[in-house]
Amino acid sequence: MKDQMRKEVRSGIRRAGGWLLGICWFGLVLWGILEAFGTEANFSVGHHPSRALGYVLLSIAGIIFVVTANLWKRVFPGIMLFATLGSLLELERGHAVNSSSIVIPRWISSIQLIVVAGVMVLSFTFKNRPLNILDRLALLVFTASIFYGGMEATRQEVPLALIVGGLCIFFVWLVDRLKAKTAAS
Amino acid sequence: MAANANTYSIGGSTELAVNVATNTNSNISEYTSFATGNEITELLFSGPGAGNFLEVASHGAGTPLTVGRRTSNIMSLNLGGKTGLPQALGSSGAQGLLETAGKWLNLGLDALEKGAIDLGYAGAEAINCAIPAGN
Repeated sequence: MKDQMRKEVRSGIRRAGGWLLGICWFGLVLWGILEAFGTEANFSVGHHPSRALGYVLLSIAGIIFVVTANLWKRVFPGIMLFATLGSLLELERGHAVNSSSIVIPRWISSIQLIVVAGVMVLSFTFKNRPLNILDRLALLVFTASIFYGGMEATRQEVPLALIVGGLCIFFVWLVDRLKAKTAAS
Repeated sequence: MAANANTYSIGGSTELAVNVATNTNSNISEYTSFATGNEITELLFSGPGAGNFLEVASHGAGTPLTVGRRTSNIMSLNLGGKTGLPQALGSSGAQGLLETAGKWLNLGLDALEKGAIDLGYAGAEAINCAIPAGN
């Protein structure tokens, strides 16, 4: 009984720690984007964006993302499930989640919803297999597309980046299915 | 409550921390809000009829009333036994069915982790907004 409780506590701490590390990683990405693509208006007086620092930070974040993919792949479908809910809310409300001032046309949120829901369904298959380098790179492209595609959507443009990111996920899923079929026959 | 909604999300709070740490000002998390935003806050505090959630919740709570056993002198039987699936079910297809159900339940629990964080942020926002200004 005590061992079981200890195991559960350890598992809980590991999960909470994982989420905190994930949030730190997200902070690193935001800092990198700000330095690499930010304007003078984003910085306080006397401070200037450092493009080199931004690219270094984004590279470090990308490497961490690819190397640790097998550790966080378990929570990816959950994040995508809530992203689908978020897209559904954007479609229903007509504005960005938590920001009513950012209007997103319904036809754009419909495209977003289709891509995100599709990736969510495919992401469940990632849980059951070790991710190879192609899978990891596709996930990296898709994550980058969330940032760029989100920006496109808020500018009321077709979220092309998000569509490309979604297609990358579909491609690696297809490759895995074909490999599994070949192995079976 | 909708005014501060983005701050009470994974994306918004992380961006706020980055902005404070690097002395910057940005709104990148608004672009990624469908993935990093707080869907629970959006569901509860935004949209039609939002804003009176706490009032509605307090009305829903009703009058305090307790029902049930008030004594502790009840006999309990703590018999040690063999745990696991009943033998009668083991030979049928129920075992596979239960294993599949367990897997789906586990999948749901994994997905709920993000929901639990969002719920925590929503609770923090509700508490913060419930405190009258000036305190």
